[in-house]
Amino acid sequence: VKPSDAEGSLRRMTAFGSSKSRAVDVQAVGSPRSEVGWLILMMACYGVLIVFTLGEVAGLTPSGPARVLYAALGVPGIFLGPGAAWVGALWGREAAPEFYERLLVACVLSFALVLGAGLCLSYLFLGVTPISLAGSLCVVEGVGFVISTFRLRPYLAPVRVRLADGDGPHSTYLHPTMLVVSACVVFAAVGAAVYAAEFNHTGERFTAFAVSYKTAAPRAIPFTVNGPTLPLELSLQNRLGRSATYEVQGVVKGETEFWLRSGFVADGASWHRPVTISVPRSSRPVRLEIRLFLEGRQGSYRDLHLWLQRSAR
Amino acid sequence: MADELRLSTTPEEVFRAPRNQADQPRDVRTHRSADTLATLLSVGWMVSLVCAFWQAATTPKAGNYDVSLPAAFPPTLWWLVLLATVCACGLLLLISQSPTRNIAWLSGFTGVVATNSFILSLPLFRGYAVADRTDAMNHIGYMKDIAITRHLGTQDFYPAQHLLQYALQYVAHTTPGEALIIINITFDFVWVAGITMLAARLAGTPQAKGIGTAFAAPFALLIYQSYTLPSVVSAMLLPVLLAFYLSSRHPEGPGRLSWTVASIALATLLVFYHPVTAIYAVVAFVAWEFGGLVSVREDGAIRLSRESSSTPSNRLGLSIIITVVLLAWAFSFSVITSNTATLLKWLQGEQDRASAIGEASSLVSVSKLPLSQLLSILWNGFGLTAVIPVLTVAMWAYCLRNRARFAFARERLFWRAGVTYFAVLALSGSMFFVSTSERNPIRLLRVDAILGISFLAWWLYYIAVRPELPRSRRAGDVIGLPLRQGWRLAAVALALVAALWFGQRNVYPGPANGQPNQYVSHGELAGMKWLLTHRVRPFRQASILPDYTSRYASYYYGYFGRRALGPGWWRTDLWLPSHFYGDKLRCAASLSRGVRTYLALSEAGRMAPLRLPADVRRYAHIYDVSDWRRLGRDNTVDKVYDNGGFQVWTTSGVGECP
Repeated sequence: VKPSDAEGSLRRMTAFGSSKSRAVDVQAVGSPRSEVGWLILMMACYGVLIVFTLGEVAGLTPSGPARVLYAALGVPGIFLGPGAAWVGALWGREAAPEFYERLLVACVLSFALVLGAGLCLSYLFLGVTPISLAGSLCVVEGVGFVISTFRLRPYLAPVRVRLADGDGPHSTYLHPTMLVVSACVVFAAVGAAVYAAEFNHTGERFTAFAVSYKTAAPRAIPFTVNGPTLPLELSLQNRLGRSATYEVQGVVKGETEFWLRSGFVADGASWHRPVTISVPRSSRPVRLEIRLFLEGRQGSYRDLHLWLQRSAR
Repeated sequence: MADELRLSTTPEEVFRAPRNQADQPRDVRTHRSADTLATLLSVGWMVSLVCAFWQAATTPKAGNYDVSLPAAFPPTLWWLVLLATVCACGLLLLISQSPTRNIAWLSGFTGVVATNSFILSLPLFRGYAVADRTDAMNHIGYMKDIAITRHLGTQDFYPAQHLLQYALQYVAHTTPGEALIIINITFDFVWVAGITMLAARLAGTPQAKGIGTAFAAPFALLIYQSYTLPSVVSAMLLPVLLAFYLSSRHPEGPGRLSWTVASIALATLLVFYHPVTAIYAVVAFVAWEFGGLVSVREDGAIRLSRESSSTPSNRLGLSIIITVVLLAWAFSFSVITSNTATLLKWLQGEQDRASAIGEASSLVSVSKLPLSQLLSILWNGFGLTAVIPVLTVAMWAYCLRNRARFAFARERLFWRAGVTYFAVLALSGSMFFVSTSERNPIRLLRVDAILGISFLAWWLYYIAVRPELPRSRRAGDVIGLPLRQGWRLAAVALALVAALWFGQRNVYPGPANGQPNQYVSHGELAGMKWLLTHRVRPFRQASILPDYTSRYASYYYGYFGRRALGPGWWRTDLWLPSHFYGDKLRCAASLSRGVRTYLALSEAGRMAPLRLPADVRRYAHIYDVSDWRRLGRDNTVDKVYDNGGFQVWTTSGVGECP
């Protein structure tokens, strides 16, 4: 049931919405209820975009569960809001498309507006930055929002909303059930996303272990060493999700060349230590084993090795 | 009285119906049963989805390399999501007869979108850094160009997606991998809503929404639906554009000007999203107008005649807009002009061995698989996408043959759709023989599949769903369908369940479809960053996977910024031979004589061949434990970095084996 115009929908609401509001089945398309709903959606999305813009200006960097929420709000804020404002501005009081069609139009218009803003900023203005992009979207959405509010003004009078109560010959009790269970689905989705992102502490846990040549200018580790010693730098990065203590052993020809202890390395932190290796004379390349040990773990945790040969000169 | 009730679609008449259950006629009780069933199905998809969410959230994240993402989650999760979509689609088919159950349709629509979005977000639950290490890394690179230079990259001929990624990553503070998945999920909504809207517009009634949404539920593009590629997601905009166009052309439709504005905005977006899809759009709209020249008389005779209602300017307006924007924008990039040159040479008769068909035939001949395994892999990898065009053409031919029976097959719209479909099919068919950047069959058939689903939904709405058969044949079943129509609907439902099953099991790569899991692990990212910052020129890069490190260079430095890394940035990685050593390769130093070579080795490269059947694994690049031991004993190569999932080895550069 689609009213041809706003007045028609208003009459329809008055006719059916008095004592037994079966609005579930007529779910007035283009009715004051849906227009008010659309305005609320626009306002919410605009609010999100304003918060994002202000956050960029203030240099806000959310972390933890707030970051997940921030990212989740980014979808309506960027991919729906700008277009939603212009859907209201374009269609106005004419019989608007169905709700899902409006969402679809809002989505693709938002894509087009992000593209337009990006192209203009890239080629005509100062360039694309988070602040310039968010700010320009705010302006574009704001213009659409003002026009929409002006065009949808007749609907802004208070509208009494009544839910279906479930009795009657052709009634459906789908509506209240759906509301409750849909809310559960939304909560489950958000909860699962936050849990998986922030509290499910499984997954990749590792320590990166590396050896490089310790020189002023970047140089690769030489295969043939000119002097009796070779300066190296050992580095490790802890990504175990907890603080850890490491030990590093250097072995040449079965003899320990060095043994280092890192002390506590916090999660996400790095540890660097220069070492100097004595390279023995030999006709064949000598293997330098560098073994990393992790506290509480049997055997070596990571192994690196270098083949070194001292120059005859 | 019963007939009056059956025809009553307005709430006034509904409220006039008797209230006592015993007094109610059979049709009202049928409605009650349908309502109860609809409620159960609604609750069914919601509960299944909540349980699936719980399972996904509590499943441990990937510790080592996952050969297959579906196998990493418990099987019950996949049964739950299948149950959720089956419930949602069942609800949609159930209520597709009724003109008055918008809320139930909304429930089904939400069920399909929510379940598909959940499936597409599984890489996030599994803790992948980025879900795709191939093209997606380059798109992250294009986005990085914008972040570094504040301007679009000079080679960025499709900036729409990169700007969306930029907005999400730098304004909403997502990670690059999350941004891609969020875009994919948003486009999943566009896919479902677009097909729904087009099916409803073509059928001329909102009642066709139900079957339209149900048909959009399976992942018809299989693994390509889990990769956020501009070529694929832009194709999802085509049904939307066609639906907007139909809305703007409807003589009595409200808001024609608004629809026209929306169409122009979308057409422009399409050009900046992907030029090839824009070419498809031009071909489709021109064919659409040509199809309008065919009309069918009441006696079934086909004749050519012009429609009097439209003038030439408004007929081809959208095609002209797309063409002009395409010529002005895309042809200023060298990659587009070179691809166009290839196409022109092919038209002049030059053979192209690097085409999709050439590549596919060589792969099949090399694979040497038993026929049953080969067919199984081909079906899982491409089957659903390939079947849709076949079904669409068959259904069009069936409707044409029975045009005396089906009124819709005598309309100009039917011919427009048919001619458009054949034109698009011809274009994608020709792409199989030309070497462009598009080679994968699914990528080539994307537009055919998307338009095919919309058209099938429209035709099957009239054939299997719409209640237009005589009342004498009613069977009085629970949803009030005529018996013959009930069988047809049951056949559609069964086909739909099969499509849902195959789609959900093959939306991610794995052993079933023979595709490697292309996800990027955090270990790989950390290791690649170390490698890229510690390489000392001059060097040669060798990798355990083809075209490996360059994509990570794009990820970190931008697609354009990669060029600033130094001379030879365009050189591709040397793909290490199977078992690291070949007949002429006795030691690692001889990989590249006189130049130090960096070897990028990873768990991904070591484990990826496990996706292949055991019989053919020997033809792949495999590296077993003894190979790693041999590499460790090779005194021309040093191991300088290891994080468990990624290692960097470097050769002496002498090039002489001891």
